[in-house]
Amino acid sequence: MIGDHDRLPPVLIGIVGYSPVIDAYPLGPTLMAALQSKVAGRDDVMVENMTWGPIHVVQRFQDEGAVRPRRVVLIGAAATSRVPGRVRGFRWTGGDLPAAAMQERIYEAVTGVVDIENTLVIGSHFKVWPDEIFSVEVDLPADTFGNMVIADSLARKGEGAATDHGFSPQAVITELAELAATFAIADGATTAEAKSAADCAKVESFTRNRIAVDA
Amino acid sequence: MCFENLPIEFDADGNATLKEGVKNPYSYQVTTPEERELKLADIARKNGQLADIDFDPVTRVAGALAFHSSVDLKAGKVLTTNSVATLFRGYEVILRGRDPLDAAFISSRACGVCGGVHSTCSALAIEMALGIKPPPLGIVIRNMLLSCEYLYDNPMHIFVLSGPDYSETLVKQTNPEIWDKAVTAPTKHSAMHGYATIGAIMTDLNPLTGKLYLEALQMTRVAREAYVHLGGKYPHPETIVPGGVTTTLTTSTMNEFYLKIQQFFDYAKKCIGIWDDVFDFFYDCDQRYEDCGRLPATMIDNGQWDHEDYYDATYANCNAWGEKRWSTPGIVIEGKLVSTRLTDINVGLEEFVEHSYYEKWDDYPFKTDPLGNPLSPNHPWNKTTIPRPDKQNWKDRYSWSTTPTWDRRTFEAGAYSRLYVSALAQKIPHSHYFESTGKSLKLNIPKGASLPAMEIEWRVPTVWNAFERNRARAYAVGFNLMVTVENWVRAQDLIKRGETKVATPFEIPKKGHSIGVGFWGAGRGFLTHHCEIKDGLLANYQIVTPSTINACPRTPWGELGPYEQSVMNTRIVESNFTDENDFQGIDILRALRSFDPCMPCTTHVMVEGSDRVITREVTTCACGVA
Repeated sequence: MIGDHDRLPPVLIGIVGYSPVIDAYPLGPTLMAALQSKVAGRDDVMVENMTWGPIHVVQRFQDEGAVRPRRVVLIGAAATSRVPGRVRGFRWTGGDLPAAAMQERIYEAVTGVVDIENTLVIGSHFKVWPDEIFSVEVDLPADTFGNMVIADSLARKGEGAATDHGFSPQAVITELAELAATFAIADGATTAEAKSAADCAKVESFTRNRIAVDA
Repeated sequence: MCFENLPIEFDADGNATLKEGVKNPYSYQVTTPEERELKLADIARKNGQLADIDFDPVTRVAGALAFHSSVDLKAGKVLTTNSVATLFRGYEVILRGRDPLDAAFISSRACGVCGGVHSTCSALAIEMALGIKPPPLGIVIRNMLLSCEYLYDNPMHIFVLSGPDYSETLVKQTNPEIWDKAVTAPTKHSAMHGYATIGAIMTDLNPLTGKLYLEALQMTRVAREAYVHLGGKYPHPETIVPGGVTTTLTTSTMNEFYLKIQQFFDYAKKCIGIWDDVFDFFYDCDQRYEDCGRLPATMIDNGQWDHEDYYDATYANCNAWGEKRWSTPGIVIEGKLVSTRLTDINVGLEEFVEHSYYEKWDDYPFKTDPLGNPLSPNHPWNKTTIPRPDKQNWKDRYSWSTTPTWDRRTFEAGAYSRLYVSALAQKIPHSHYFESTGKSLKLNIPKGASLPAMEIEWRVPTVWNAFERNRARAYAVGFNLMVTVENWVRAQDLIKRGETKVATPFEIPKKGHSIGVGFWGAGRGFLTHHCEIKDGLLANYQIVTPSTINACPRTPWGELGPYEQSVMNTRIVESNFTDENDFQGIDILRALRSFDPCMPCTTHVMVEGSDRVITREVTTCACGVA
């Protein structure tokens, strides 16, 4: 965030999304705690809740000047979901998009959309990322998310939630923390699947036009 | 008297009462789905069939605004429109039952862009409910923080969001005949911005590469840095609290803040000069642009920037301290100012949910406000947020946005409303930097690094449309700037007089029942937070945001929301297409973007089948795990 002028350590893990404001579903703090536990004792690794839009993130890294981390690991929800609860890690290889597509993403970014692919793509466009950047993404379809919280509110945690939704939130957190820590501090990260701007889900315009045509 | 639709009248002292003899004063006629179905069928019969285009399968779930329109390309007309907030985020539900101290921090998350304005609005509501009057320096610092958010938001909008719609890249594609003229068209305000031709400006408006686009991104950074000097961090500051701010002020802080703000002296002149030139040029090219996003000038603004000598946080005195704000509260109906009283704004405010995914509520706890003025059952103090997810149906429910009305009219909100109301009202306290004339707003912008001091005047326009919204937004950069300077000078004076206190300590009473309202404004305009505190906890909390107002679905009686109506009035001037396959809809986009859409303000993620809610910026962000 702007205002934080501390020098960054060599490795930064950032959770792209919001801190929670409800008590019933504290996955955010749980994930943060799990990550901090994984990197405990490592002064060279910092974990941050990056709860701001991509432009804020870009300006923060620009603000750091030459003292950027050598490696960044971003954690967030996948742009598309195929297998609920699946956690995947990627080595971000960057790349730019056509100008119109990039502008759509920036348009989203500055109107409040916080999104891991937007953060990656826009960061690459403004050249703020170090050579080593990874993403750890979890499939969380919108239509299952509410059900997860219902399960939580009904105290069907753990295995109960897994039964309801096909995956366990706690297992997801464990897997996210494990993979992010591996990328942050282990050499195995270089074997991660590559992902570039061209692989990102297409951004759609917020307008839909229906055209009247002759019958 | 300002009310024409609600049966409210005033006595000689200005106290409002319901007219006698009206049996159901707040009843209304609901337009039936069948009537709308017939209308749509008639449109289809007259225009052949309606064909969906560009409706790819959804590959990515993001964003929270969807806007659907039907267009007759041959006639150059828009036939139907629907504005949709696609997500529910339910801060109103989240805040229910919480400690009032949480409200500023939690409601700040209602927007990913402008969190500080929600924090402040929340603080104002709590201050009113609990009778907390901030110290003068706390009020002035809060004003300066607000200005920084506006100085971030308005340039971002006119150059990064709306700006590309007027750039060489876009105009060459959609209207090459206009680009051809722009190449040689001389500018009128080169002394303010340095460009000799309109074409040169349009080239620098190009997204991603244009100098003006990139400069705007840089200037938003300057505004945020100024904010951080006083507010500690941005976004989501934690220094704004009921009773003032928790900032530690030093001479160095004040100086560093000024050095940042000073960078806007020339930039504000440039913003104004650029957009005066661009919009005048487009009008000259094609008069049909007057219809782009055209609406009657019906708008409301709560005013902002409290005067430290008048603000006392009470509802009883809100008309007095409201009219002493550095921008004046007010209601404009079809270009005419009908009131500058905050109580009038509050009494006429209602929210409807007939076309939204919410249940109607039965409770009607507040028949009047604390002064005895009548309140509708649909007033925010009486509203209960009861989410009811459903399938999208244009004839019935289709949005997570509610429909706010004032005196049973939809209305606009925007940075421009701040100028419009202030210009007409002539109530701004004396300042060396700005003055209301009754038909314009004069700004005295100091000498900057390159440009001399200038007196600049924004005049209330004769038409109200997308171009005038954006033009006013450009002038708003200058207005925001000079209010900042006014308050910086006041802060320095207070510090010289030995003032150091920036917040009033208070305790939340464990027993008792009170209500409050924060009358404030986001960068995008009108913002209210209504709260009810019972025995130390928030019993109810209601937020009305500018995007809720502008993007609302139609009223129960069939009046379109501002987005919907403004697009209906838009003429299709786009010329470079052969059929639906290469039609870009640029005129529709210009109309919509002129409102500065900010859908996260409007939208919320809800938990299906319960009243549980979780914060999530959009469906793809890690709020899914947070």
